[in-house]
Formats: sequence, structure tokens, C-alpha cells
Amino acid sequence: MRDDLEFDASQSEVLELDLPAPSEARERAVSVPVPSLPGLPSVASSAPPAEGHTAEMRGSLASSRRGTAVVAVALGLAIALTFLGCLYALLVTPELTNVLDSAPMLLLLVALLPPPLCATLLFVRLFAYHFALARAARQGDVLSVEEALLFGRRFWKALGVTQLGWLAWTLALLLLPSFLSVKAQAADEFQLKTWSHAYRPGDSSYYAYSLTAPDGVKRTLSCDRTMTDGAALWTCKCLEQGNLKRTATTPRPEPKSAIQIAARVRELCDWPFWAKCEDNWLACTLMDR
Amino acid sequence: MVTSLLGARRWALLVGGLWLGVGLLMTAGLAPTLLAAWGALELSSKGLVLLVMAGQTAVVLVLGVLVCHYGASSARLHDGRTNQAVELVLRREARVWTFAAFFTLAILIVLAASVVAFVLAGAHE
Repeated sequence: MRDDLEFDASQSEVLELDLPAPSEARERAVSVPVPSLPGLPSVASSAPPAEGHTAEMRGSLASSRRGTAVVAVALGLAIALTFLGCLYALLVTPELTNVLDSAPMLLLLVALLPPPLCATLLFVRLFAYHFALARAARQGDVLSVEEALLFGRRFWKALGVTQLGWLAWTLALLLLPSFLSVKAQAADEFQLKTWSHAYRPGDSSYYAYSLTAPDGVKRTLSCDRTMTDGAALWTCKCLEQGNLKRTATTPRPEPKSAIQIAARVRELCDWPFWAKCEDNWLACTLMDR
Repeated sequence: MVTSLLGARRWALLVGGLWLGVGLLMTAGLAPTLLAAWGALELSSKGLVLLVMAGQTAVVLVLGVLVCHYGASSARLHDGRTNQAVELVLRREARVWTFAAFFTLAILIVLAASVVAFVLAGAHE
């Protein structure tokens, strides 16, 4: 069995493929007929382009070629200056280096990379379009015009996508901070809905403060003074929605500021937050303990 | 070719529409300030900034109109694949690029002048 598989070089046959030479293959590829628009000169035609419409078309292509050249050079300059400026800032400005070191790398990449990358992509597309236009203006055949239009479509698509990205970027920059600050404000600050101070005229042995936070619960700190051995002792009650929650006795005198009142309410009513209030009692900031 | 032109048309219309929107927003934001300050507009830094912003707004609006015009011109290709339709598209695109080139050159000249003025001012001090 093994002998059957032995290779006998003397009995082998050389197979020869009838492949065209590389130059011949190129000629065959070029000679494929190209569909053309009515009136446009065919690519296979070696005759010079017809005057009239085609001449005007070539003029337009040449104008676009010049315009794209100027814009592409300016865009390239802008990109180069941007990169150089960033490099200079990174190398020279220590404050910026500190900021970059302290910020999360992913956030930095997401925030800083897209604009130069999009600009570079646009630059590449624009230059490709420019060269395609130059070819089309020079040759004026259907194939080159079609190629230019294809590059044009790619450029306009890249520009459109970039513009949409820029729009989303701007909206995100405009909306995100305000959204975050609104969320933060909702979590950390509140406005007292109602507050009141009760006292008996001419009687300094009683005071009461009621306040209603955004949770809708009305908390009242109601204190009565008793004199024991010449010392004042305050018996304070915490009422939540009118129901007694806790009673405590303290020698501390009547609170004199909104901050002190908020601190007493927090202690007595077991409020889970520190509340820092302005003296006008309107705005308080809640802080986790 | 027609596919390319129609594909470019969609994106050009989008880009032109965006620029027009931005230009109109800039106009709405800038017009009251300009109208209020028009009588007392001086050749100060604030006045120059206002004028430059007004110029930018105008350029964005013109570019938006030109790009939209170019994008809309491809609609004619639906009627027939004529040379004239293709020529029209190419001519309008050439207008866009010519205007963009002039605007770019103007920006480059202004930037170069600013740099020269800055350097001269520094040398003067």
C-alpha cells in the first residue's frame, strides 16, 4: 500500500497554465467597456472630450479642485497647529499636566480625542476628493468623473457625520453639566416649604419651631423651660406630623440661629442629615453625616 | 454616478441644513446686541468682536444656503440622467468650494495679520 504512494519524478507531468503576461492582463482589464451617460465621452475613446457641456463640466471640476485644495491646506494647518499647541501645553504647562494626571484617562480620551480624529478623517477624505477632482478635470472621461463623484459622496458623508457628532457633542456639553447640577441640587439642597416660630408673649419659658422639608413631614421642636436649683432646664419634644416621637432634656438655651435650630431638630428627631441653613431659613443644604 | 450624486445630496442637505440652523441661531443671538449697539459701535475690541461674529454668521448662512442649493440640485437627476443635470450639480458644488476657498483665505489673512500685529506690538513694548 505504501509503495503505491511513492512519488516517481520521472513519470511526473508538468502542467502549464495559459496565463497572460502582467502587461497583457492590464490591457485586457482596461479594455472592459465602461457604461457611460448619454452625451459623455466614453473612457475607451481616445478622442478628446467634446466641447460644450463637457468643457463646462471640466471647468466646474477644476473650480472645485482649487477650492478643495485651499480648504484642505487650511484644514491641515489647523490640525497641525492644534496638535503642536496640545503638545506645547502638555510639555510646558505644569498645571495642565496636573489636571491631566488627576483626571480619569478614559474620560480624557472620550473628551479630547474625537475632534482631532474627525478633523484628520475629514482632511484625508478632502484630499482624496481633491485628487479625484484633479484627475477628472484633467482626463474628463466618465470613469474619472464617476470616481470623483464617489469621493465627493464619501467626503460629504464624512462631513455630515462629523457635523452630527459635533451637534451631539455641543448638546452634551450644554446639557450634561446642567443636568448633573440639577441632580446634585435635588440631592443636596432643599427649600423649606414652611417654617414657623411659636412663642408666648412675655414668657421666655417656651418656644417652638416647626419646619417642613421636601419629604412633606412637618417636624416640630417644642421646648418648655423649668428651673431646677436656679438652673434652667429645657424639656424638648420632637413632634412629627403632630405625633410625639421623642422627648429629651437639655440645659442648652433657645437656639439663636437657623443652623442651631436645624441641628436641634436633627438630633432630637433623628434626622439622618446634617442641615446647613441660611439665616433666612429659605435654603438649606443637606449633608451626609 | 447617479448613486454617488444622490448619496452626496443627502449628506449635503444635512450639512447645509445644520449650517443654516446654526447661522439662524447665531443671528437670533447676535442681532439684538448688534441692533442695540449699532449707533455707538466703535472701533474697539468689543466692536470688532461683534463685527467678526456678524461676519461669521453671514458666512455660515451663505455656506448653508450654497450647500443646500447644491444638495437640492441633485433632485433633477430623478427626471433624467442628462449631462445638464450632472453639470448643474457640479457647477453648484464648484460654487460651494469657491466660496469656501475665499472664506478660508480670508480667515488665513486675518490670522496672519493678527499674528503680525501681535508680534509687532510685542516688539514695540
